[in-house]
Amino acid sequence: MSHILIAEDQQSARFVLTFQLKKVGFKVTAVENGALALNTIQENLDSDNKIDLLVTDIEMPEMSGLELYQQIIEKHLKIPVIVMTAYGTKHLVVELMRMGCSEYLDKPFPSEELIGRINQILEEKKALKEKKSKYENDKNKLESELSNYKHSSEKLREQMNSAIIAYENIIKIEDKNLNVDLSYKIKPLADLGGDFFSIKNTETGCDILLADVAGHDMGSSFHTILIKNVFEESVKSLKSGNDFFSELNRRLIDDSENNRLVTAVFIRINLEEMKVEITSAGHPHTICLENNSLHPKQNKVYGDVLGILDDVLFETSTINICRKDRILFYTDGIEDHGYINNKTGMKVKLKDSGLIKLVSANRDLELEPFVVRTWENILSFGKNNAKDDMTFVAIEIK
Amino acid sequence: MYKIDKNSDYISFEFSSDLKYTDRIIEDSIDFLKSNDIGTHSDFKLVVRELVINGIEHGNNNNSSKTVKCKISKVGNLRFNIEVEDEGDGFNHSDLDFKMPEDPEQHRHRGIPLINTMVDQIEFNEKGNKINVIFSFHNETKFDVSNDNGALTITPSGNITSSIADSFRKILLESLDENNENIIFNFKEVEDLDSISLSLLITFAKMFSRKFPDTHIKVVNANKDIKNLFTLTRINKFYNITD
Repeated sequence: MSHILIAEDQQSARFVLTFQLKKVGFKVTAVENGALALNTIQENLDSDNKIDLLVTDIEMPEMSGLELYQQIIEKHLKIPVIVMTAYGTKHLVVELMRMGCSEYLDKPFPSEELIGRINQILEEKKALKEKKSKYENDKNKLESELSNYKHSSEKLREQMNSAIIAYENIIKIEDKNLNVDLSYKIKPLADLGGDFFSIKNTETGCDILLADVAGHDMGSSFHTILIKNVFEESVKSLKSGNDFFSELNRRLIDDSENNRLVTAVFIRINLEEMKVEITSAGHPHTICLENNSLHPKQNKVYGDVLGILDDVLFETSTINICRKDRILFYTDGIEDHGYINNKTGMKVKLKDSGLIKLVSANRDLELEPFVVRTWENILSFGKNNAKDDMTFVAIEIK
Repeated sequence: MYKIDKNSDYISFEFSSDLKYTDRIIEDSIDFLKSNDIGTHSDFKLVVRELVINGIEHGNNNNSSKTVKCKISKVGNLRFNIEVEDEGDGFNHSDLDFKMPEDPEQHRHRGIPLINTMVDQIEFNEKGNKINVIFSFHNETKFDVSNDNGALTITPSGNITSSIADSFRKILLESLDENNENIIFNFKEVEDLDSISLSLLITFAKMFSRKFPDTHIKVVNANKDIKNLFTLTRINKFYNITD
């Protein structure tokens, strides 16, 4: 039941109003001046007896309706007010309007008009309250969701950071005192990549592995850890390329739930016999840049890809090498690097043929500048818009 | 100041450096796209927003007496050039690293790495106060599966890449459930297969060969690049590629 407070100094008017409002079901308290009205409002502020609406006269002893309204505003009492105005109080109404009061009834008025106005104001108040509580609800819900997201994003961030550090360590090459000269560039698309490159000295030369795990996310980075381990074991036991890839294939299938395709090339350099063995697992062809030949040559070696099939076979090709010969190898991010032709909307890829042209043009440079220049050429061919991890490696026989 | 000029091929804006215009530019651009029969696209909105904010904040240092110009023009079917020019001093973009920053909240290099992942191409003028990007709307690849004369033909409507890997996987598993020995992939609309989709094709071949050890899956209308890829990765031992 809504509680209406009436402030009216004329006893008869007070009685009539009280009677009319009680008759339609309101709880009514009636007082004879503004000071008492203010007291009543304040005393019942947080009780069950709380005043829901005030109907006040303007001219009253002790405290006028104008002063009362002023107090209600100043004390932030947040209570709707209907002011009853009479002939001769117009100047006060202007003052009230300035203070923001918007509900007036000109005396005399029929009781239905007052009741209708009260009901309307109370309904509006109720609707506003519901809206506000819904808004508060939504806001709280959103805030809690947001803080959940923040929390899990921070957790993910931490995991990512550790994965990034792990990946950075994995692709870091200890290139001091290698039996061959080395220069290379690795560019993961983001901080985590799926390209893996390693080179290790052996008694007779070097073993080299370049692998490309499908995707460039945390999953692919973790595969690179496995690849690194298997490679390092294999170097120690001097496994052949074919045996190494068979072992790696088995481990990739056994150790991981999701089948991720891996392509790789294994290169064994034997400096005593001046021979190079190249074994491929579905990897882009390596390029030989012989010191005494003008044209780069592709070593076309084929093999199954790793990580999915149970029975796999890999070809190995053996080539002779001389001092100053270079062997170049890379991941398919380089071949696929390219730009979109503005007219056709089709992607123009560098491809192996494009790479061979760049290599050919830069071949007279020393190893390091050769790699730097070729790399710049590759990047600028694709207008710097890489869509995959890219690795480019060159070794030179000392 | 907010000036707008448009016809059926382009929409261009000129406005004072005030962030309050950003939403309006996005809205007006979306209307322009709609008139080209392209629905709203979150990547596009993000790219335009980043570029415009760059111009206002980094280019003109929020100096409202300076203006930013932005022009979005149609360069091909579903392709648009977005050009944004500010009146600032430009910046050195020659050693810009396009690698995505570690922390997504960190706004390194004016958000360019983020934009780079969504657009075909980014170009700056030499001074660095004008950027041009090419944005393509791609229709997501759908798979048409039909049964003609007993053969199950799977025809993708475009490139098969990791973004649609899940639906491709589903299609492959469903085809396997059909127990049909005669499967044909029609790659007439496929320009590119990425390594994730290649993984799926090999896994599919492995499962298929367990069911039908003596049968090859057929691939028709594959382009030269895809044929080379199948040869290089030896996937052609499962897939019979014909024209």
